[in-house]
Amino acid sequence: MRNFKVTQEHRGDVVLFKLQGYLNDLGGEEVEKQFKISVKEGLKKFIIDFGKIAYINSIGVSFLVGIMDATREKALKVCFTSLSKINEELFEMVGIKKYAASFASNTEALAYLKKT
Amino acid sequence: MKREERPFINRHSELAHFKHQAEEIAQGGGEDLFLFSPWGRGKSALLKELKEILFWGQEGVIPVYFSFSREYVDLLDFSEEYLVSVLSQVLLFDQKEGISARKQVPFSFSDLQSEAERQGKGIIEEIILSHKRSVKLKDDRKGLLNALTAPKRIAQAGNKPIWMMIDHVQAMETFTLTGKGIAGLWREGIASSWAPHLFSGEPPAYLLKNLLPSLGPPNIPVMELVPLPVEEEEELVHLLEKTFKVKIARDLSKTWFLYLESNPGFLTSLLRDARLETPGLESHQRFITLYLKSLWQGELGRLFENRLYGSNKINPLNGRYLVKILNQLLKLEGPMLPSTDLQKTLNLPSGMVQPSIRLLERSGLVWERFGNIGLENNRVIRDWVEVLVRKYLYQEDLDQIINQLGKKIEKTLSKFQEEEAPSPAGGNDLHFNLVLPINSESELVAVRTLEQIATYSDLDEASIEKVKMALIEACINAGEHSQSFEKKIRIYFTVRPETIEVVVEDRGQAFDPVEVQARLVREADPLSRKRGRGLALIKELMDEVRFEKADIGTRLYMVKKKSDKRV
Repeated sequence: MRNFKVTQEHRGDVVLFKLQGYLNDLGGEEVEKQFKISVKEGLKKFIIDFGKIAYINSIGVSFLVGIMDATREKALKVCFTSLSKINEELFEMVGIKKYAASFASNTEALAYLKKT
Repeated sequence: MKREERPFINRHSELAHFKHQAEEIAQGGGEDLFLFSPWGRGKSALLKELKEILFWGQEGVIPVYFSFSREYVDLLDFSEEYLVSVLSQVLLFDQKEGISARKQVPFSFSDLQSEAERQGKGIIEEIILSHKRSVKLKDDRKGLLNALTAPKRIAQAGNKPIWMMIDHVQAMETFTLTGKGIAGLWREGIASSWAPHLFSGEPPAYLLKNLLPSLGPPNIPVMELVPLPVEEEEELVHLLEKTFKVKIARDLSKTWFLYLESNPGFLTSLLRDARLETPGLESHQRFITLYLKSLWQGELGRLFENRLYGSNKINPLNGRYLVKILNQLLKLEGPMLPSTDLQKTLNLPSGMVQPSIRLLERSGLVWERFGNIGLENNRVIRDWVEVLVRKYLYQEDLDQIINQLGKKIEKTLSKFQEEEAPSPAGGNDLHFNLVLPINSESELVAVRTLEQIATYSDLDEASIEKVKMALIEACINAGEHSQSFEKKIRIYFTVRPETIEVVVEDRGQAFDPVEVQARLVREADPLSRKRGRGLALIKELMDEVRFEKADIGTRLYMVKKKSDKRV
């Protein structure tokens, strides 16, 4: 049973990851894998869309922590979009909120990334 | 003087009653009594305990316990064993201060005489000599009478009453003297306030019909040892857990105790088998499997088989007829069946029905009244019969039996649970229980259930989201660290207007959450390093969090209150 899906879209030099379902260890691994491939391809700007995320567990969030560590080391830009209140709180608790700008929509995030 | 500690199963009120009885006997007011109950209720344990208490704790009456414990070669063989037992206990009672090890080792027959001489007990010497004469003359009757009347003669001579506790009296029925039962001869030794007898045996219906009348007139008063009160179940289970090194989930043990007819003997047999099968009984399914296995070929089955086949030489053909009879009685819709109908229905050879019924009745499996017979109304007996029928008549294997009979048992158990379910302490409390298999993402089922349950509370959406997140973490924790025997997580929700309480229980190896966190941090595997945040998150998300050691495994207790002060 898999309750998670990640799709990738390219908007110019920005990679948009759209997550859907339950972000657990398997989901986290998948996001991390796709993120690393994009970084290897030389991409530097990312949006992670949580709009269709139902739940995130602590292991899933740990993969996001890993991604954020990589962004700091390699001067990458990552934005989070459509975070629910609880997930926003979760990101605050685990300390990743401060490393990524958070927006209500992908349009806002794209506008922000274009400026930087 | 403190006696040696040993396990015993409560029976406080009965012991108090009998201790009072001992005082009456010491005052010269002793009377015979017949104690009966179906087997397994703890008569022997009660009598042995009573004997110990009286032996060490008072001086007014000499307690003597005797049990028919083996097959005797002849009546003189029985008489000698009876005398060794009785005389040893009398002689030991008078020198108990000198028994350092608290163990009452009986004298051998040859040592009895010198010990009696040393203690200056002429009457005992006389009894021993009389027995020797009977043996020499091969005089069964005289030897038996000498033995059976010994207690009252010794008591009278020593001016101290003896309380005779005769256990497993049903065996008395197998002895005959020139074709007649010996119960009548026992009359010579009873009905004396010097040596009142407390007879104990089973099965009740059979003994009352066949043995009790032989010991009278006047008829001896009877007393039934009632089932162990359910309040005493916990102490019994605790003792058995220690003895057999097996853990039982508390919420199951009471139900199973009731299912096993509140019979300590049945529970003991079952747990003796559990010792070999599993370290923990955490689910009804495991109990059912163990129970049916035990009836099929384990301790419980042997318990019944020994009673049925014990000293009776049954050939396989007769055995098959017995199973057929039992099957017919099991199928019976009314409470009883005329034995003549049984013969016709089963087409049994003439002359087979009555002895078979008598054997089954003596084994405590069926009862017979005025030519009508019925299967004992005892769940465990009925289950055993059903196992027997399925095994021998329908050639079903154990898995088939577990599958089919197991379902029926499960239904009965759920009825018990409904009856037992305590009414919630708070009138507005709502309780929901959920049992989930441990597999990937089953925590999603838990949160979806919580979503529905939470609608009964007044908590705001943000708080409910936190409970859901904490629940996900709790389920993952329970699944990952418990190594649950049953591969299940149990979740108990209590919803009140102001709070949601969630208890996540696993029935595996109890784990120390602090150690788990530390271990995950220590692990070198990068994926492992991603773990270990769950408990910290739970503590952040909930208002109250604590781990409790469950009967088996670990229980995580979490509460979320209406006003989320943390936000």
